[in-house]
Amino acid sequence: VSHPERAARFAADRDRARWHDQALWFVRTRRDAAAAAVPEWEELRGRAAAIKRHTLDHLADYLETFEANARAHGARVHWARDAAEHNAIVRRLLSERGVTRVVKSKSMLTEEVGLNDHLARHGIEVIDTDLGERIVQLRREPPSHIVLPAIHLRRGEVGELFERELGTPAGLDDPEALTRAARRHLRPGFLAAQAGITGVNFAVAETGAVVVCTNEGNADLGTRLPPLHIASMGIEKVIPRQADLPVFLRLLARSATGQALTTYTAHFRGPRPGGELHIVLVDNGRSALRSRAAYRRSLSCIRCGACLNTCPVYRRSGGHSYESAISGPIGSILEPARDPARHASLPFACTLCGSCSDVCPVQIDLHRQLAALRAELVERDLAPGPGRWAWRVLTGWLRRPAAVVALGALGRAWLRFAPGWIRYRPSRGWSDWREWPEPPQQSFRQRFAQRERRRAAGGEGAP
Amino acid sequence: VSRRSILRALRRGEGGPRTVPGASASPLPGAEGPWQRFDDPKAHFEVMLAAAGGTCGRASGADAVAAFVEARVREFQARRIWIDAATGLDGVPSGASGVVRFDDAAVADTAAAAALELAVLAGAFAVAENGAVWVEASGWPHPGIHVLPEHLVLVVPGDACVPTLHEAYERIDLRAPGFGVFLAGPSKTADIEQALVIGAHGARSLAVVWSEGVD
Repeated sequence: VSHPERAARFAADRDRARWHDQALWFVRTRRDAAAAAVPEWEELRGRAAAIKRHTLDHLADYLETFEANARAHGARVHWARDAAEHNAIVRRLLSERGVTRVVKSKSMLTEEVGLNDHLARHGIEVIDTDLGERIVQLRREPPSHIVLPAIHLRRGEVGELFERELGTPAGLDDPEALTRAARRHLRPGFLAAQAGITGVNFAVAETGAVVVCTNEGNADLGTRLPPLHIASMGIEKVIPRQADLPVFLRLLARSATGQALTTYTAHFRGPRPGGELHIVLVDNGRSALRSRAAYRRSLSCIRCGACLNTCPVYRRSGGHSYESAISGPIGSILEPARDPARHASLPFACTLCGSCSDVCPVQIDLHRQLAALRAELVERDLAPGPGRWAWRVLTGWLRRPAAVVALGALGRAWLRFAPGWIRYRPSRGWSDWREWPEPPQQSFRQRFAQRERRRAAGGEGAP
Repeated sequence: VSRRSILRALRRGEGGPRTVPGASASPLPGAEGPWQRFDDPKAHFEVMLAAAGGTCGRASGADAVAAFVEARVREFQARRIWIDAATGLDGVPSGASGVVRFDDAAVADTAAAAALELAVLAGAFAVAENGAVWVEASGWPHPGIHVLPEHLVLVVPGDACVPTLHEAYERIDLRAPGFGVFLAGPSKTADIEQALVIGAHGARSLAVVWSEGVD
């Protein structure tokens, strides 16, 4: 099933689609206000982009430096080439210690590699502790947004879910009461957990520190109570210096939600007293992506979600229409770059408006990469729908002046005389929500010829 | 094995190992400013903290800090509290108030720490641009003492307020093992219909008190 079909399903619920659109646009306006309050905002974006570009160019060195410094703090560092190896490492760490109950804070990487399912198959229960992630986990569906995992749901649906799963009273739909219920439900999970899994926002090569940002405090609770902390990170998360942290932290929360900083910005240097910290460095296609110049900069992404919130297509189609761990503009690059056959429809969902590139805090040229991906998919004959042949037909048509004249005349006649139910038939999909324009009386050629005749006669229209 | 194969794959695209520093086509930019400045950094901090759901007070002298903490104890009707000795608040709670101040040994137990209604921690310094306070886990009786109690008070030296995170990281040393955290207001979430709810998993309130005129 392609993106347009899934998007149509989401858009069919017009109230929900409208609410979704406006809720995310509101987040975008908060981002604008937060960015405007920082005079050096553009300077920070430029620095962040330059730091990431430099780091990606020297990634092997920085990873080795990070590994050495993290080890000096008492952390253990593991390397995983792909999803299977990552999941095997995590499962082995848990199994060796007899762990069956794990709490996990938000980590797009563990979504990407399907960690929860893998651990569940081996009898290890993973509780997602971010409220939005817990909601979608209880619904047995993936997050629909990288920062706001349950943004596709209305409060009534969360109320029904909690009534069924947590035993809250029927009809409860107040966000505050539902959040309290989730807190009561999750607290025992934290206290009973034998291990905590987190993602990583930034890993500082110079000091070996790992930084994890949350608003709920769930990463702190999940790692400071149990004796085992496993932090999974993509290899692109490393940054060179401690002095680079403020550049990214000043951009991250402002771009994500419009907050000046996340509530909890935790800096782990080694395990908690008496505990263990294991850091898993995951490649899973990243080194391959880095070697492709056109898409390399997509590895600079800090997962703020600003490109999702601003995207006119994402806002109206919902995260699940992308059928990928990471949705929206950045997901439409990362996923097809990894698996072009499966995600070929995503780059074609883009309108190339470029708004994503304008808000990206690390200046990723998202819309250019999406255009490059389209070209590549067309060349590889993977483009969905008419894209596969439409350009060849168009090229053939534009090469033949007589054909252009003929089809133009036919088109004008069609728009003028065909009744509505026939007129809109060939353009269904596109014209479901749009009117065709009023057809002009004459073609350009006819007008031009007329003008030339008038000029020859010395009448009006002469220069 | 995976380590070597990942590093080899990366180095293939990096023009050989150990590129000469400074010779890079993509140099690492400098870390210096100029960065944002505020006429009154502490006032700006207080505005940003309020926006993050926290509250702030100023206390002149050790007695005033103690009075601020006692007022929070009454406000939350806290019965079980813990106070970091680093704050110097030895006399809190004063009198027979029915409030139990747990000692470090008692709070080392997770169940006891989780039952705390109020904890008072020593904050190292505040950041004006975002309302955050840097808290270093030194001498903590429990690793999660910043996130388990219902309510938090952070005592911050009255002259310790930097304008932005850039100056903040000049004061932080991440080279030694340990744990440190920026706390910007109480725990919060907006995961249900984007409605902001204070008190997700961690503290349900956070108050910062400037400790002015205290050695």
